[in-house]
Amino acid sequence: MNTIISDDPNQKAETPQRQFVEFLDTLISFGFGLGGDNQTAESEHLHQIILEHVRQLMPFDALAFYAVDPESFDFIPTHCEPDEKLSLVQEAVDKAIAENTFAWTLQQNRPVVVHNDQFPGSVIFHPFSTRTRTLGMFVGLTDDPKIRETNIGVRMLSVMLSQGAYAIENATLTRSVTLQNARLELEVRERTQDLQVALHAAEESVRAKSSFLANMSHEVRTPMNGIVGMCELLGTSELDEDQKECVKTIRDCGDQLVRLISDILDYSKVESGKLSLESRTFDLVACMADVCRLERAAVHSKPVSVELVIHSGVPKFCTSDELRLRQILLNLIGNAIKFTKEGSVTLDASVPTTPPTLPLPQPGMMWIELDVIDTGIGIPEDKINKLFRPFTQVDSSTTRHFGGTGLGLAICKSLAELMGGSIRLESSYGKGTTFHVLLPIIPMQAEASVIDESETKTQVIKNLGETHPLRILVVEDNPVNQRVIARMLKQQGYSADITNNGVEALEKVHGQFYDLVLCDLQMPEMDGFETTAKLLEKYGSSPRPLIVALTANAMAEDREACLKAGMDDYLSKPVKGTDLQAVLSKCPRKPVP
Amino acid sequence: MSDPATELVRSVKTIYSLPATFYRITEVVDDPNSSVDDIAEVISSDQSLSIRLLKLANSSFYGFPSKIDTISHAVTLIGGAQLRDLAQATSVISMFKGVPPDIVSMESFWKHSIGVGITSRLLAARRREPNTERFFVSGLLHDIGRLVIFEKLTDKARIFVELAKSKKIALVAAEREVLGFDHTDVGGALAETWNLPARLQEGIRVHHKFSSVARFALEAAVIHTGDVIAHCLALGTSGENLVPPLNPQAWAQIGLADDDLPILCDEATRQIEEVIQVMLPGASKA
Repeated sequence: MNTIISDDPNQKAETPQRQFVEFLDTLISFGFGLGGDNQTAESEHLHQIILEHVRQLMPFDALAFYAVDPESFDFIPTHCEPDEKLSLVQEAVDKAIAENTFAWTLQQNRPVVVHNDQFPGSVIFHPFSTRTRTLGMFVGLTDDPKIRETNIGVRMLSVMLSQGAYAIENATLTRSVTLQNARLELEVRERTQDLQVALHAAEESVRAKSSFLANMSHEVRTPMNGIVGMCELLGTSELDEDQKECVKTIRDCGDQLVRLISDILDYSKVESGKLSLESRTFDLVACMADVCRLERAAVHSKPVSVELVIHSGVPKFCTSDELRLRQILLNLIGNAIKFTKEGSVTLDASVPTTPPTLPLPQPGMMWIELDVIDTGIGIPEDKINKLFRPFTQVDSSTTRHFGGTGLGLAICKSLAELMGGSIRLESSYGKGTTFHVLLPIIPMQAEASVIDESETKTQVIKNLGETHPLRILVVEDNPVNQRVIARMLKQQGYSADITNNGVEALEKVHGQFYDLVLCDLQMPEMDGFETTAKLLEKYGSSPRPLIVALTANAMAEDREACLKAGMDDYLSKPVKGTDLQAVLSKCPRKPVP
Repeated sequence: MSDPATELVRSVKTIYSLPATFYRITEVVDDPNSSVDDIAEVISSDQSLSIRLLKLANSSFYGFPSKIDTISHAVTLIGGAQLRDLAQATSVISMFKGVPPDIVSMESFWKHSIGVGITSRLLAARRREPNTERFFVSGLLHDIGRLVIFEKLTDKARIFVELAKSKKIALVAAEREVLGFDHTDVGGALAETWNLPARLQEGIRVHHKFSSVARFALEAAVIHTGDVIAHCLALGTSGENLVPPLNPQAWAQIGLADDDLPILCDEATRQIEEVIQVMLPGASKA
């Protein structure tokens, strides 16, 4: 401030004030510079800002920063301007170190201005530190010999250096936090990957377990078939009352066991992902009617009616997996009947008025809602969610009272979901339960068989049991199995002719038309495949019976072989009621010729 | 109408005035155009002061590793403003001569005051505050008002000293009871007449009633805590025989760890004798 041109004494008086304001401006600019526009400023950038503003404080001959070497704790120059003054600065530093001034400055944490003969001006030492950490030392050389630590420029330097030190420390901390975050993210990612691998392994092991169950239950079924069959045989022989009672008990237990094994097999098939869906066009209305008819037969002595209500909009023909749809309905209706003492079980088919939140699996599909409504005992609210889990019934006493494996609903849910739909239930305890099954189907409008909408909005179909009885031929060499299948058919209200092998069967079809031929695969003289070939040859293009294989091999490839041989379907032994029902419902019901 | 404490100080202000040297030092330190040598020259004109300051500079109070043998070297290392403060402290010590020894011995009084000065400065230094000398001076002068009372209101002083002893109450409470004001009011007023910096006045005024929202809360907290520590270490007494209770808010304000205390006490006891020898020449060794 030695260039005052004006003579005006007021002007002169203002000068320190102006200088002060200028200093403050520098300081404000410095503050904004440090704050910057980014919080991730690198310390290099901050150093530049500090230098840029420190330069403005006074005309320095040279200024330098020394940093603490983290290993040797020596102070090493990190910056010096101008470069060529470094040796001079270093000389001043060496001297200050020798005279203890350097350490003193750091210890006192305040500027020390040194004047001596070696340097005609002033040497300013200023620690570059926060309250907790020393980052380094500032050294400034000026030719002004009157600089003292109370000099306003030195005071500004104190402000800048402390602020700058904190900014750099913050930047360092921010950096380490950022690094730490990145490390954590990486760790989380790795863990997630590990978890996914573990999850995959767990799923794999569940699949393996289910697969094992499927195979095991098949192995168990073959001897069970023998036990149940032999009991049947034994029951027809001459026995006293006690013995008869024993045989009946054994057979009932056997039946129960076979049902359980079948359910486990089904469930494990779904779980193991072995169950694949079929997509065939079928008569939806007939299918539902058939299910109701079958279930009505199973009501036995209770005052329970089974009714079917079909609302307008439900297509008569559709494409879906008929077998699975039927399985769901049989299960739900059977279940409803089981838990209804009196009243009704209604199958109510409609097109949902409000589209479900679920997406349709493929274009061209539509939703149908199949409600199974009963007037049974209902389900307590807190048990509703548990119900679809495997092996769960409302309580263990229910199991004792009503029997069942507790797998039925779990299978239904799995099947419905596999088909792209859902099952939920509403229930009021003591008043009844409604299962809502939502399934995507492809309506076959081309068949033009949508229920006539000119009729009433709903159509109640009753008395469906009055269709003509099917003519069934069983081809089976094993007498036990012959009896078993005959009994099952009888239970469902059908009778059948029994033949021991393919040769006999071919003789039999000469005299009579059959709607259904149930044919064992492994037989002496003529096996199932040959018999099928002969039958197909005999009928040619004329109407022929439905040919369904009976096999103890329950795996998918056997099914492939059967279909390849020209058979229409297959049943695995021991034959399950619902499967048999499904097959029976497929038989075209032709008028008696 | 001013309060009785201010009245008291006004009536005695010609007696308790700082020496001319002090004002000359202040002048040269405050002049931005004066050099280190200018300051050194003014200080050196008072020989006994120069000797005392050099002794202090070379004592454990500073702990500078090599010998400081000129005032100008001391000004460089310690700072002109800091030396001015120290000069003021030594001037004040020699100012009070007429305190009756039956009330308090001057030696004990200054020992306590120097003790508070040292602990206050150490507390500040531990916080890495710049210019810790100001805390030393604040601590040294914190009970200065009591000396004025002892000298000028001797009879009443005897009464409240007795009262504090018999009732086992704090001396400051007894002062209030007998005088209607206490030594902090008098000390504050005196600091004001001496034109001491506002933060120094604050330390004197509120060291018995710390508030975290005071203008210079740190000064007040440091002096208050330094007073308590000096009492605990039994470094003399200013007439008070009870250890004042530590205000936890003041300790929190300083923000040091409890672990810092033992080190600080060790350092204070290490410095006190040497500083007393410098500031109170002729004092008996404790």
